[in-house]
Amino acid sequence: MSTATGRPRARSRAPMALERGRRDIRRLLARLGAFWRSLDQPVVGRRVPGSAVVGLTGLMLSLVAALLAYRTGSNTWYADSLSHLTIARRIFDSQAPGFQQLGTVWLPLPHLLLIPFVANLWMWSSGVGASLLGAGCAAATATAVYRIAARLGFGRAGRLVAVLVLWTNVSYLYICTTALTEPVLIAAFACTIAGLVHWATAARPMSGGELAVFAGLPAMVAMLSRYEGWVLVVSMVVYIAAVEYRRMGGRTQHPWRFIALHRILPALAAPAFGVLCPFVGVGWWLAYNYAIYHDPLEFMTGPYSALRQQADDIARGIVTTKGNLGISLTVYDWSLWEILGGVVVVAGALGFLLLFFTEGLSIRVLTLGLAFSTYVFMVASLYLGQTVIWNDHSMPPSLWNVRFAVSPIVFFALGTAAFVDRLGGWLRRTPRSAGAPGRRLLAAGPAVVVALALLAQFGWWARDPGTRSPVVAEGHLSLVLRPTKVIDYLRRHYDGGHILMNESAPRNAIIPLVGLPNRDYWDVSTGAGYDAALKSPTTHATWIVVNTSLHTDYPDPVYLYMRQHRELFANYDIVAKDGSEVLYHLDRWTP
Amino acid sequence: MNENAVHRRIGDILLDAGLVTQEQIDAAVQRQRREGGLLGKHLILSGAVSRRDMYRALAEQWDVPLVDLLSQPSNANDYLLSVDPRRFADAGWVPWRIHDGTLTIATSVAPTQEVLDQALSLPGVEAVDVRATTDWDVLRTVQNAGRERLLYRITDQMADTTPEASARSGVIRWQRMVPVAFLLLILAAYVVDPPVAVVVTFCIVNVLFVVNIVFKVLAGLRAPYRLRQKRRWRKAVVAERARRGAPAAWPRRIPDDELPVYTILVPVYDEAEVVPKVIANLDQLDYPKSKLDVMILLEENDTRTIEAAKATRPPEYVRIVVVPEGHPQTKPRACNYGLEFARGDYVVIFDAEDRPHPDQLRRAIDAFEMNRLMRKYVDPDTPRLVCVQASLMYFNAEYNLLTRMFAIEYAHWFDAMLPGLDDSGLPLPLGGTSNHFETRTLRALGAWDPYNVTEDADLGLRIASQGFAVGTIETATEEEACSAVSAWIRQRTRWIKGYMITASVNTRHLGRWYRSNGIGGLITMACLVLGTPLAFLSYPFSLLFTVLTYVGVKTGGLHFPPGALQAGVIMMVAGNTAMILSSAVAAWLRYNWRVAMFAFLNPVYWLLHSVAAWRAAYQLVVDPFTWEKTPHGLTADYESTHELRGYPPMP
Repeated sequence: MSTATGRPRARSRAPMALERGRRDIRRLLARLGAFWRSLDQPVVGRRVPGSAVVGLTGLMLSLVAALLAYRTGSNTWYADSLSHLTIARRIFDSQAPGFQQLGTVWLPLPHLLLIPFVANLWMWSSGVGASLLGAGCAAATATAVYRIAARLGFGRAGRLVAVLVLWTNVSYLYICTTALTEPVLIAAFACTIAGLVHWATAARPMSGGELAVFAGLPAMVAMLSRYEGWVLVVSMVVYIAAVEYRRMGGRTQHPWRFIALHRILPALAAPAFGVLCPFVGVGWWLAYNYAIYHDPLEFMTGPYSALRQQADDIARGIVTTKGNLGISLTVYDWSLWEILGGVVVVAGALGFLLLFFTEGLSIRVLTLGLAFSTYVFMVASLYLGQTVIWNDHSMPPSLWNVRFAVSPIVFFALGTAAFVDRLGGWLRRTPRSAGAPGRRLLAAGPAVVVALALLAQFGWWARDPGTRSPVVAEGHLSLVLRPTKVIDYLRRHYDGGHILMNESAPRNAIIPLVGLPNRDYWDVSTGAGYDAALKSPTTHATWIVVNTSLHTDYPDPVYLYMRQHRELFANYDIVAKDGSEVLYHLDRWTP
Repeated sequence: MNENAVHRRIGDILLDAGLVTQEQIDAAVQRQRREGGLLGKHLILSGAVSRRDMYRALAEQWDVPLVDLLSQPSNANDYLLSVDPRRFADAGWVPWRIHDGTLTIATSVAPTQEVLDQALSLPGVEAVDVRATTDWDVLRTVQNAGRERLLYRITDQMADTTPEASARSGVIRWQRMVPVAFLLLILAAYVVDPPVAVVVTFCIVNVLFVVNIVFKVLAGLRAPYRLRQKRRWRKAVVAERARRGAPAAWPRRIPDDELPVYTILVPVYDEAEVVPKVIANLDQLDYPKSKLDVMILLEENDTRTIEAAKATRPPEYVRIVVVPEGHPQTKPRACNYGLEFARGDYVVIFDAEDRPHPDQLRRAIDAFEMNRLMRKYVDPDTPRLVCVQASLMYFNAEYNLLTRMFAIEYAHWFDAMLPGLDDSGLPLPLGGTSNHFETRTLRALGAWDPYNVTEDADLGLRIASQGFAVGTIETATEEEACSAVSAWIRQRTRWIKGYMITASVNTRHLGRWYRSNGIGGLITMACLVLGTPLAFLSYPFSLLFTVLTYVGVKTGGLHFPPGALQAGVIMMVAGNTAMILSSAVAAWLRYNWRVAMFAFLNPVYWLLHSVAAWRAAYQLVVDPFTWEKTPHGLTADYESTHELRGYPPMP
């Protein structure tokens, strides 16, 4: 009975299910079509269609990059990356935990942001925690760039090409897998510009509080991440004043008085909230430096500051960019070319020029100008000798700090979007004889060509990133210099006891790779404990890691102390050696 | 009066006079069948006939002349002054002329024998003659004649009869002395031993802040539990009803003709432009207009708004009531005046810009009815519910940063904390609007204290102290969040000052107060009413300590008790975090994540509260009764793009 009644039912259900399936597919296609069309719509109000999809895609791509980097171990190649990991963890895991562990060599925020990601020992020592933070930054950057492009009125092609610039850049994706500070800076930088563009293009004037949150807070993050952020804030004030001026512009008989009283002053007053946040951040940083080191400018002038470290190089005459604008431009532009790729540099620059010559000082041009501020900062920094970059075109040629050329990626992404949008717009209008479909096809042409070129460029890099991407290559150079044997020995043979070392000395940035908690170390960051360990090593440390090279700018203080007080270290035996790096172990049978 | 004329139907009179059509009569009859009430009222409400024409027809029906009390005012003031004005207002008639023992009354209700007997019961009246007049004329006459008496009742009666419940006498001596003595003690400590004084201050300010925060968070944490319990309870009721074969929908939707008259008080001051909006918003209510008694309360000296209100020609269920000038000129005073003339069994207050959800009045009635059934059939000891508070939410939440923060705060307050307090059986400080009362009980309680600038919170506590209950209902009123910092600070100053005053009023006689309020009242008083101002007064100091500790500044050789510094920092950080999370969840559920994510700015937002708290403390000393009015319509051009989440629909 059940079979007899069941079969006809099954037969009648099949076409219904099929029809339902078709209906679902049609509905899905219709929704996808509506979504696709929404990406081309001008942005009105707060929502920018496609933001979530872009953010999720950016996150997924960065996670894939993180996985690849983890499998090759390249996410921990950079010595600076290892130092950042160490600093972040020692805030809570150290013989002397606390916020003073932030130190002053680097700005503090990336380390603070890293804390939850390095709380787990494995995530810290493998660098995976940093990769996760980097993935978040990459997602935020992609979303912000997309929203900027959308709010600036670029069409779908421009918006998508802008994010494609990020997603096809091997150097940028790689850097997001590391604990370096650039991903945080770039994300904060892009978010600041996104907030400012929202403010500049909003139909209803945004309040000071909103400006503070949407632009001021990310600017504060940028400011407390890298010094490029400080220039960003100055540029931000100029941008706000310029936009206010344009917005209110020229309806008076006394323009100068009018500009001064009714444009510039209100323009500077209105965003006071917006620029307050970054200055609060700076105030905190100065207070911190004063509280810990009794000098608010310790980060600038202290022994570990970039200024002090570069002083020797300058004295030796190997910072050839200092005082020479031509070399500074050549060195930096070459890094840009290598890192961002020819397609992006050419299309981005052309896009900006196209906008400038067709629109003058429009909101778009001002925004791209704001994004250009990192480029100006880096070139000025090279020229003033504050920053050193060594690449194929520097003297001496080498690989050092080439990753500084990643920062202007936001400018070039937006410039490329402008290029595609403007060119597509012209092609859509000009040949009327081509008919509507033909014009649409022509309009899509620049986007398709640029997208294919970006993918080709990505493929070229991806085939041999260790050689073709200078950023990855520089990381690989750090790997070559790494005292791997010492690390491996310590990791495998550690049987308890503390380790005495100075992590700041050359080749000593290895702590995460050993995989032991920070509290097992007597490092210079532990202050009085470190001094006590030096004076009485046998009661404090079972292991000592030193760099025995004396031919460096900064010889290892522990090794220097050992040389001066040999009697204190007589009971230590060398158990591992990797070049100049030596690992000592306390003789167990010492009375 | 002609006996034959009495039997003529009003519809026939109006038809004969050509004032209405048969279709209009039929439509009004239909509404009368559906909603109950008088046919004449439905004809007026539908606009078929003017009020004056209707009363002219009624005069014909009653076979008496119609008089205009504006051009021919009453000269029987002795009667009007000797009797409670509300008695005439409620009865619908007033003494008009007295001559040789014959009292002529002007009535807006049918001159039944009961009416005549009431008139005859007045001293010295031997005979009664009747004139017809409109209900407006009656009201105006009562207002004019009873002006002084009404003024006293709405302003000072409560302070004279129950001075311990009124804020008129302000902060009493020992209450002034305690904070002064405390401050002197602290100052002395700073002079004698500054390090110890700093440590003590640090501990005190942290404790003050944390007590308030912990109370709010814990109260809010009960909300999800309460929600789950309610759902389970509803499910059980539905299952039981199904078992007994009863319809699943319960409580049933009360038929229109069974609904009571509902009075809505809308105090408006210096807001000429909002009157049309008030009417438009109240027009959305799912409640028969014939059962609505809307009173727009205007201040006598606010001629601009009065003119604007009259010019809008409000519908017939809306009364424009002008409150006589007096001091203090406050919202509770205006509401008290409105309450004098309220016709409804229930009364609710809405602010001028409020947009109550359509189901609100029905939900309130359901809550009162449910409480009645609970007391009758389940637990006679259940406290009688005399007031319910609807949630408040903001339609302009995403206007700017301040409105977002305000919306987050309100979401936590009304959607988490108040339901939590309600569930815990603790007294609720009412919000300034959308609180619904039983009219009779509210009058018996003395209504609002006109000298208290947060009369709502005060009334909530007074209700609890009398053994009655205040509850919350799952419906909301959309309001306009104050979007300007300066106006926000003024508004918050008033609220915090009101909390200070309410705390001082309630704690004048601590022992007596505790005996009538119990431990629940004490918790609400200490942690919320008194705790809120104290927390915000102390917040800048506790924040300062935390920040100083965080940036690593050494504590200047101070010797904190073991763990005190860490405990302080942990309390501050954990307290802030708990409040941020708690309010973010509430805002997420009420609005969306875009609003909720701003909860992380709460610590900054609380600094604004602190500014208001210190301002309030200053005003408490120099000017305790000043009512700093909140301007409305600052975001008039803005309509929220986000979808406001309401409660589940009524069955």
